[in-house]
Amino acid sequence: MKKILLLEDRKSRQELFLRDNSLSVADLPPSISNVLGDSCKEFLERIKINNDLINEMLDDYDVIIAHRSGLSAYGIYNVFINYFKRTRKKFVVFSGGINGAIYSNEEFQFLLVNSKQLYSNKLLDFSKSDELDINNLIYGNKWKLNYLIRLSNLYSLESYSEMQVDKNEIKTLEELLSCDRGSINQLINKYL
Amino acid sequence: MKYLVINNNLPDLIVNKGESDTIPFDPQRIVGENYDFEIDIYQSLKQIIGEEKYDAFIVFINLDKHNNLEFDGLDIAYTLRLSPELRHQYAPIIFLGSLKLEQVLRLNKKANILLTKGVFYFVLSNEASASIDELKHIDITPEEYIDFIERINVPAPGNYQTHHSVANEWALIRYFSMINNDDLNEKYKTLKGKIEELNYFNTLHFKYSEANIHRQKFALKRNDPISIIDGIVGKKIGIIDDECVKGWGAFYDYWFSKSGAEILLFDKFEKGKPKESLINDIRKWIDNQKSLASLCDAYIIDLRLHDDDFYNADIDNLSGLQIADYIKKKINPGIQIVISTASNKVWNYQKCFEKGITSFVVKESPETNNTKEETRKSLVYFNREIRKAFQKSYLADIYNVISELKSENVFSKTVASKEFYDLVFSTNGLLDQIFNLLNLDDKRDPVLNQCLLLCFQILENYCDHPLVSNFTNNSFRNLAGGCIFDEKGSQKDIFLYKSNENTLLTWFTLKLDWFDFQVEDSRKTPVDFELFPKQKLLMNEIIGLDSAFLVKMISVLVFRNSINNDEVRRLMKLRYYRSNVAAHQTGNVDLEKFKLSSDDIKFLILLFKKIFK
Repeated sequence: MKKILLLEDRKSRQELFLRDNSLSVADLPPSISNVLGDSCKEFLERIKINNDLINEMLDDYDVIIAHRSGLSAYGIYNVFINYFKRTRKKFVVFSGGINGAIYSNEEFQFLLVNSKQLYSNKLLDFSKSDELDINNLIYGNKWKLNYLIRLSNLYSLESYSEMQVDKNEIKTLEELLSCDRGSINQLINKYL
Repeated sequence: MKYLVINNNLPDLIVNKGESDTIPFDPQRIVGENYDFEIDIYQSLKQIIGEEKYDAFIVFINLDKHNNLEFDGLDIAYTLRLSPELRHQYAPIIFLGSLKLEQVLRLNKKANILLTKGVFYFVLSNEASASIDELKHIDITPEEYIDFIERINVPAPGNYQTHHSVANEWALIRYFSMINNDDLNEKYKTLKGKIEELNYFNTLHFKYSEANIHRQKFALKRNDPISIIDGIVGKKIGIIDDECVKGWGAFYDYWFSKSGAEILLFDKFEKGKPKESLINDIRKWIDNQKSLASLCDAYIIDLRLHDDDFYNADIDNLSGLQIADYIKKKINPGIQIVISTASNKVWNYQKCFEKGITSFVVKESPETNNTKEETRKSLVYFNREIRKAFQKSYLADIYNVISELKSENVFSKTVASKEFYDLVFSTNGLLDQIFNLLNLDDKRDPVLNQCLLLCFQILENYCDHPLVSNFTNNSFRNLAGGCIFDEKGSQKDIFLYKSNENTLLTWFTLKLDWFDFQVEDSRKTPVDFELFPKQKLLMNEIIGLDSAFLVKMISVLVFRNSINNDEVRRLMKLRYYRSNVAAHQTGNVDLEKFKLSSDDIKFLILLFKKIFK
């Protein structure tokens, strides 16, 4: 099972958002190392004092989830970003100040998500599964739909001769979703 | 036709539409420390559009291949429609995607915009290009724009209830819009600059809320500008608000300096600092003012000064209330506090009231959909609450006077005066009661009347105190007389009345007349007194029962305490009001002509300082 590190500098925020989703801290499974409040601050402080410590402190984990302002407060946000660029691990950043969620996988898998969105059942489901795609944290059981729309877009663009559509991407998605041109609409409609 | 095509990942058939510009959309900046998608979209559009004028926009509905369920292309349409400064608010916007329209509508609430006038959606196909060509690219009308506003909804950022609360920034922007241009004023320029820096200014939620308000078409009343806060010249106000760095500090600085007051700003809000440390820092800041004898006349305190406050359900633990409590309990309960907050929860107001805070200002929120006129009223209310707080700031001095008197007074060392001491100076004694009443409300007549009664109760007990005076009335011997004792116990005879001879040997006499506030058919009453250089023999006049107290009062205050004549005359006037209004509604006072005020009670407390110290 994957190991997740959750860095939350405000205990009360975690409690509040979990409560909003009818959850509590006790519901977080053992696969999540929940470094909370003062422990989190000490954790970040150590990295602030010695940036190199980030390697040994994060290396045991597959996915790291951290509060954006918490990292900024210690001036180590970019220390984290550089670590993920190096290791290509998965990094989830949550913030109260944003709407919606944004994902990128250019240099490493990165997800920017609203705090309330993070502290939901999707976090529990994600932590209990072997799935490593951090998109699951926002889309939950709709994660396939995200890829189905992408595949649908690729099919549409493919029909234009000048478009250089990545055939491998299409093939990968078709295999992942067990889908082809004939069945894609039906599959999408299943989620509506 | 000139198109702007957003996303370079579209077929030539659609991109190359006569005169058109194509721009890539690069979402790869998202790993940045302060990245905000909405602001990124806005700034990208601003840069791309520049001074150009486009007839229509063509946008692929999924700009970023990773976030397909977000349908982030729709944000382009919202940004264009809600940003007047981009100059394409009414322009046609054409969306392309691979899903059917009904699928998009069911997958994302933002897709409502596809149902509004001037927004089109086509499934990417060979026919799409022809369909675009067939469209009449006409801007929507202002009426259609209003329809657009009514059909859509832009939610507030997820942190709406948190420390970064949009309400704070919203209220600041709105209040600023109420202030007349004052570009020659440096503080105004600083404030303007701070507001322009606010991120919220560029969010869709702000723009949507603004558009919603404009839709209501309520105009500001002309010739009715917001005036500065009058009556606060020379006053000093302490500001404890974590939003100060985001512009509220500049607002207070400008607004109070314009009104002639000085502000003292606590600005050591460090990100990540524990709540207890912050509270301690603020307490030290206040203690330091106290040690320098430069405490403020009033403080404006934000209810939530720390992030933790937003995740704590216990109102008593809110940092703003803890600071207010500290000031009221440890420094001086007479210091006036204005609680300023973006929260409009009634239980917060109730809690403040319980803690002796009577001024509560709610910063306007976008959710209240205030018209401009309502915003104006909100700022006027803010001014009123500040003025009210300063008007009551004298209570801090009153509290100090009472505290000094309680700790040391002429009766404190006399065993014989225990009863009087307990009545007046003990905890919850008459002085405390007067202070508490004033602190609660120093404007209402019943409260002020009660204060006046308590003040005269003190004065009556004082004048009758055996260490102060001895007034006797021996009817058997037809004699009445009065003497006072000075602080060393020496006796001074003030008057001697012989009823069988109807003579009065006295140092002073009362003068009968009418107070200017008496009703016409009321009887003459003692309104003044005349002192004699030496005791004088007079024929007595009947002056009513109440005169008995006046005679004692004048005897004690003039001959024991050397209170000046004008102050004694003011006391005579207040005594008449006390007996004919506060204690008994005799109808002898025309209440239109005299109104008891907190100044009168303050006068009496300061008088006590002179006689008890």
